[in-house]
Amino acid sequence: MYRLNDEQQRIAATAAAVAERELAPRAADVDRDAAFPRDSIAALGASGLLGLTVPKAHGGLGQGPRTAAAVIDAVAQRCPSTAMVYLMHLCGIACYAAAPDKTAPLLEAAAAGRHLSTLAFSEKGSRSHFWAPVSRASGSGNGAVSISAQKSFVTSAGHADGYVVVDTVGRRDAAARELDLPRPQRRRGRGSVGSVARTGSRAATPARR
Amino acid sequence: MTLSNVSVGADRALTADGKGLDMMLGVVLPLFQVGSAAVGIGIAEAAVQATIGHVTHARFEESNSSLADLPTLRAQIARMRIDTDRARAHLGAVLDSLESPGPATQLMVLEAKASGTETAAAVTEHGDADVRRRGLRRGARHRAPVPRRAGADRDGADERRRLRVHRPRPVRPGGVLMSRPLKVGAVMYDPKVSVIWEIIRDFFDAQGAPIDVAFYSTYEDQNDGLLSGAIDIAWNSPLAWVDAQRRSGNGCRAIAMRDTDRDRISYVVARRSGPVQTLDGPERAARLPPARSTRRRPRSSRSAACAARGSAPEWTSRSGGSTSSSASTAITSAASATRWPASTQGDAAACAMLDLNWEGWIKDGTIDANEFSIVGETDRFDHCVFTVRQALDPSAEKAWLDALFAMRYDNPAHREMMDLEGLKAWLPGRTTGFGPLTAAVESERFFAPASS
Repeated sequence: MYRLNDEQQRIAATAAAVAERELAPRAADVDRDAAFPRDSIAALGASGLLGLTVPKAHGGLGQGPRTAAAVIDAVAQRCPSTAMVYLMHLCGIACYAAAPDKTAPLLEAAAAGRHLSTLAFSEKGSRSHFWAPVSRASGSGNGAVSISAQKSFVTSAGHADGYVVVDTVGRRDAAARELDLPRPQRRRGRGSVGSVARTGSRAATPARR
Repeated sequence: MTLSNVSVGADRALTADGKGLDMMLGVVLPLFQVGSAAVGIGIAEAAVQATIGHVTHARFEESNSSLADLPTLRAQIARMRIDTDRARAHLGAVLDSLESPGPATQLMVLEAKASGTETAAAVTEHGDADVRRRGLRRGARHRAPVPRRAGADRDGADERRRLRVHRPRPVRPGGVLMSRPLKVGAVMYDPKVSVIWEIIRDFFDAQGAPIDVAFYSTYEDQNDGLLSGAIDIAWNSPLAWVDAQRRSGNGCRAIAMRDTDRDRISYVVARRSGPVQTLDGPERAARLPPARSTRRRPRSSRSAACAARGSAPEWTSRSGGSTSSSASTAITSAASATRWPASTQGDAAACAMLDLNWEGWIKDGTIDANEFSIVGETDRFDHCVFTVRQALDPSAEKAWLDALFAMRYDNPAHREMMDLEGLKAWLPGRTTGFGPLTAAVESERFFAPASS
């Protein structure tokens, strides 16, 4: 029903095969333990799928939302947690791709399966109004800023290689930035929401704090 | 995730200051919406496939039929399939719109996530409720739905689908019958009956005496099941007990009952200023027993509904058939507090109710004792009983009763279940409390003559 062309069909078929082989056997454990599906993400990376939407000029597969939908569908059938982590990665990549002059190394790393991205939009104060961050970035000259914020609902928190954050500068104007944070040693706290448990995506339930 | 004075260089700014919102709404939102829909659709697809796989392969030992032979399950799977395809088709249309933007694009993009995730919730709910929670999950409890007898006003696949719970017999790997759970019948007068019995069934499981529960629309159907052997134990109202005895030639036994079901009285309550002052004739003064203090609370509506079914002939036992027909047609019965106002505001001259209801409603102010009084009452009678056929296997019966009597109100784990069922203790069954009702049923020719 996604009406894919030949190239898109090949990619979707590859995704289904990788998911069947590498993700499905781990999905039950990932869900039961609410463990971050690191091996599953690595498998997607090894098959080039972390670069699904990275422009071909940066080594990616250069696909758009149509192929992304088909691939995410195929992944979600085998491991919903991995699918959510993957979706948020693609969202982060979309932000990188909007500023390719600054993010070329990240795009290339993602295409090579070495970079997992995510979004850190929501904040404790903004609640679900993720488009209205309350945190402020204070300028320190040359366009550099210093950010303090309580980000909530961050999928892959503590596991991603890059985070796209939004903050406010000066008045209430939001700016998006990419952060390359060190991976903390400890696991993030995890919220558990009723319906999430049933759909087998517990491991992707974002950190609440 | 906490950021504390994280220093970010200008080379990491993905947008100019003030352009973050554009990126969030223009770049991220469409992909996030589409991708979230795809996650939901993938989850729904997995639920459909897993359900089809299971009902196709799981088989009943007894009949060598597969779960897929059940039309109710096939209908349910069809619904899951259609829901999933519909959401995927919608997502396809959203993608088309994104590629050729038009006035509808923004709305469709916003719809996508709701469509996909709601579908995942609905489809997994169907699979959950109708397959998995019914115990069809591989390796878990082996319970299988069987079509329920359709009630007169609840016919149709949908209604049947909700109501039956039945578990095939557990078998040893070699196929040898290990133990047969007793099948207990209950009349589903309210959806919450299934909730109560799910809890009770889990209790019996925990006691090592597993039961199946079968729900019926009417006590008549339930007695059909009891007398034909489809169920072993019937949770019968007083009238149903009398009917079971009548139809089986006294071939049944009452093995257990609630403490609160012993020595009940039905009252006829009338307005003090109203036309009914007594049911015994104008020459005799109305009896006005004082409201006795009691620690009992109003009955749950479960037992109240039983009372409603049983109260008419019980009342005639007190009246001895001498009540004038004009008086009896004016008497309504109030089985629940919500029906009380209707009983007092209509043209009913009096209202029949169980003693526990009278006491509870006086206490909580539903009934004003200055306005209403008891104008008549029945002899004491007993209420619901667990009814079995005379020949039920004694060891199975004992195991079941041992488990039942292990339910204790002072055990916090049992209390909710007992409160729902409206009792403090299970007692052995007795039949001495059904004398007046049995006599009244006969004198009123309440039941049609037994066909056999």
